[in-house]
Amino acid sequence: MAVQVLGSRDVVRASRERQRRRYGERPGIAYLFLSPWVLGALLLTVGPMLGSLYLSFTDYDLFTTPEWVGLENYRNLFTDDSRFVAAVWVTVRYVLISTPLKLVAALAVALLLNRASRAQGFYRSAFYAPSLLGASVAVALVWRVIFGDLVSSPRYALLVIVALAVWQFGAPMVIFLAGLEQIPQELYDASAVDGAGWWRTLRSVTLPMLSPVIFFNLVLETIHAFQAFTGAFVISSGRGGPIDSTLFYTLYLYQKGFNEFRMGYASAMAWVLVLVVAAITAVLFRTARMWVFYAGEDR
Amino acid sequence: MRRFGWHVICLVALAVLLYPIAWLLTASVKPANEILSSLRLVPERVIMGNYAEVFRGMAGVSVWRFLANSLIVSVGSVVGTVVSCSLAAYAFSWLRFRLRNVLFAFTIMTILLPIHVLLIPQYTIFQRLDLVDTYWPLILPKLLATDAFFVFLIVQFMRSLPRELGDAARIDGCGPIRAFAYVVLPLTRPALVTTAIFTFIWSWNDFLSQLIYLNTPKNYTLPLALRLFIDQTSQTSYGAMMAMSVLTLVPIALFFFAFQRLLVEGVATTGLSG
Amino acid sequence: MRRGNRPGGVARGIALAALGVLLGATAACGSDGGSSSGSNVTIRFDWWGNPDRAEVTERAIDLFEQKNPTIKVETSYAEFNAYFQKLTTQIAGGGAPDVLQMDYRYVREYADRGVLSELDSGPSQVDTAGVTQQLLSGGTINGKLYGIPPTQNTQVFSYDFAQWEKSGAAAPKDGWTWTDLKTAAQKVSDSTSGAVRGLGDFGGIEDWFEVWLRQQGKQLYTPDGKLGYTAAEVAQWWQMTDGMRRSGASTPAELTTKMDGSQANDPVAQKKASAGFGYDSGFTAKSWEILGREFKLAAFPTDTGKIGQYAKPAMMFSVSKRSEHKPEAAKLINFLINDADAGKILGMSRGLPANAQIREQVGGTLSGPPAVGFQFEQQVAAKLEPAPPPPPKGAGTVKSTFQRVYDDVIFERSTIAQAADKFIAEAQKAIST
Repeated sequence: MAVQVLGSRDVVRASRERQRRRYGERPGIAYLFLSPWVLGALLLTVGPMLGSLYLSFTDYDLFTTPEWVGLENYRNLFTDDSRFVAAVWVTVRYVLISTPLKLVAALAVALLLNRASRAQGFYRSAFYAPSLLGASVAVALVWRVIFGDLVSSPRYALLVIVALAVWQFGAPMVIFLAGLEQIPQELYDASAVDGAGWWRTLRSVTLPMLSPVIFFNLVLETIHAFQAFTGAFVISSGRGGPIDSTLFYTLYLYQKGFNEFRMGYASAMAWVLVLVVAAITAVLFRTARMWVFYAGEDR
Repeated sequence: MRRFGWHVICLVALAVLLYPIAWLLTASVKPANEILSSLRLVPERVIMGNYAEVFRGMAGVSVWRFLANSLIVSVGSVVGTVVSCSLAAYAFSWLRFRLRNVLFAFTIMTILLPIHVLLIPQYTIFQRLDLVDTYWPLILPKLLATDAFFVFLIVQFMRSLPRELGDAARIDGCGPIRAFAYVVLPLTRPALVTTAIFTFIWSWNDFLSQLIYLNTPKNYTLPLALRLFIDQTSQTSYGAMMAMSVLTLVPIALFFFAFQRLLVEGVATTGLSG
Repeated sequence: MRRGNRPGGVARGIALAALGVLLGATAACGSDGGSSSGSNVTIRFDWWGNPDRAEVTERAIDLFEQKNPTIKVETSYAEFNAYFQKLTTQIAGGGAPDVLQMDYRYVREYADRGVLSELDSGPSQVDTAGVTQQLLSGGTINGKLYGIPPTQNTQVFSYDFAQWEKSGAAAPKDGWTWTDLKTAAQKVSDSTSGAVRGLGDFGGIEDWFEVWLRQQGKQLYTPDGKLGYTAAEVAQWWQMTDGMRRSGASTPAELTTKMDGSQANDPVAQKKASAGFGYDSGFTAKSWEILGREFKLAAFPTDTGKIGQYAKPAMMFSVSKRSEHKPEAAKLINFLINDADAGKILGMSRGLPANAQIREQVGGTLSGPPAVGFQFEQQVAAKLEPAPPPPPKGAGTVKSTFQRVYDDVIFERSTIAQAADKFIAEAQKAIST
């Protein structure tokens, strides 16, 4: 063919080509995509967050003007509040017990259901059904009837709530299923050709490809576990009993803020929680580099 | 035979898992005093009176109205969340800009603050905007990607898509917008379907926001109306409460069953061989 | 390469859905609370309760709107706990209703913080002449009235008389003592080998402790807002109640700790106990059905001859200080409390009417459990004392602390003396901040 002569149009197109090569060089586009998020953050999130931070340094009884008290809330929290210590302890135990159980259950069932079958739709819905209920008063009633006296035993009440949480593993399970769907069939085929058994396939194909999703579920279930409220609220009728054995951190926070009209103190508690969970999340993100594998490579 | 064994395992697991739900179902046809005092699964007497009581409605509002209200809120939430969160997730996962890591960290941080301390400041904002007793306080946050959970979820899915896709799209002449619409978005369908399903169900069950922002009973959603049955200072209709629970379950169970199918169909291949 | 959906169809679907939602959302825009157009005024009235109460309240409100064509009332209700959660948020956020239902225990918390409007003078004045004057002291703080009780109730002891007869327990009679109670309860427990206890363990409920205190001439709070009792009284009370637990006359710890005022957690409703203390307004038409058997009522046992019970406001109506329509709000309260037709409609839905005339009227129309409650109230009326002033700020916390610390006692985590001291310390802290 004849050599094409570059006209001005071609020059322009070529330079745009180069620009597009690196999407990141057009921050305008990125902010365009982010605009709803930015609007939401500014309007609905940042303001209230800063507001609650401010309140944590005040004595605020909800109805009258907040009174500045500096670090007093934080000081009282750590030095003068035995129920705070109890709440921390209860919450930590809850996180350590319920999160692994829930994730393992979700993953196990997702793997179980990850096979072609006409009944798949039915099974998926059935295993998800408990999570549809949320933590409502009706469910709490059912739980009390089933577990009877364990619910009001100081030694086992917490485990009853753990049972409720783990029972509702539907959400992480569905996310695992979605993640499993995204694993290309070719990888399984290749593995079969290599003669790998199911355990080997699991270890070298499924789990690595699933690792971004595993990471996601791990981080979020941990965060949610630290913030767990409704289950404890409905089962202990908002009291955190018996003998504060189910006094979850956010439940205690709620009692302080709404029942005792000490919202400043409750806000301080909230920010302590934020810092602790942020630290833990940051650690998780760090470790992610070692075991999470993004097929898309580092981006 | 292995297939049969698989079914057996699934069914046994389900029998254990679903026992509480079975109890809930049978409790909804039991008379009130039996609910509180008996552990039995099979009712001594079966009465449909609980459901009749529910359908009579409360304070003159019919159950169908509550159902419609819940649908408005949930559908609106789904639309808002899917659109706004996928847009934001794309920016965080596929585009490069200077503040990316900072803003993403901020996104994660918004999940960390317990809702109870944000409740009053957010309520104040909506009160000033005169939006209380409408559905805007419930839907607007979803339209603005405030649900960092889904932003993060979709980010994770988008990051697992292979880089070669981006290259292929570029070669085809796509800018970032077209790459988003024609390449990335369709391939993250499992994540989007998951987002839609969860948003629907969680916004349906979001009792606290509905309680705070909805005043007039005719604007109440179904879960809110459900709670109206359980006042503890006066007589509580436990039978009707169980019936209401079942009724609240039905729409979201149907929704889930219908939409989970979409999780299968959007199977993504790497596209390299295509 | 499978591309999945083309965005075109998806986009269209989303647009349609969005349109539908927008329409729905705007349709749900309620009118502003407390707006006025011309001479028409809209006020908001929030209360707690259940569907039965809601039904009659709505009918009463319709009647009110008929009689007052320029006033429109928007109503909203929720169950007790949700109601206060919502009320607190709304007040803090600037969206309080005009007329609100208030609880005796919280009225001071709200009034002291400038949230409530005075009802005995000024723009929100309500006519209280027809109301039992003894009741009004329950809503009077620093000489001003902040809450008007529409109804009254009093404490009561209810027992499954059939079970008591079967077990050979002596039925309560005038002037019966705490020892009588213990003996009778023990008989019930023994005759059923503990399957059905005499009564639910009542040691952790401050309400009954209060009655016992008053029988000795003491009170829960002094007029200047301090505790009216010491650890010694608490210990004495807990000795008695814990003693009943140990002997099996009352419920074991696991059952007791569940009690939160709701029926689902009430051992009596679960047929694990045959009697208990409560309020006589708690009996409504379905009571015998829910409990599965009939009960008889009696006054509290006493060792001093005084029964210590008082006419207690079951709840109150208040007006928000920031209400922009105080006279109209007051009119509504006036109507609900004093109007004869309203009284007929509302009946016993909130308890025994406080207005003497309406009470007479209503009493005649009752049957079943509410009639039993009504008769009881008539019987003890002469012996009731006036309500004490509203408890000080922090009283709600004290009550929950009382129950929580009693848990330590019944689970045998601490001795009674230690628990009593611990409770007093925490209670002092709660009311002094």
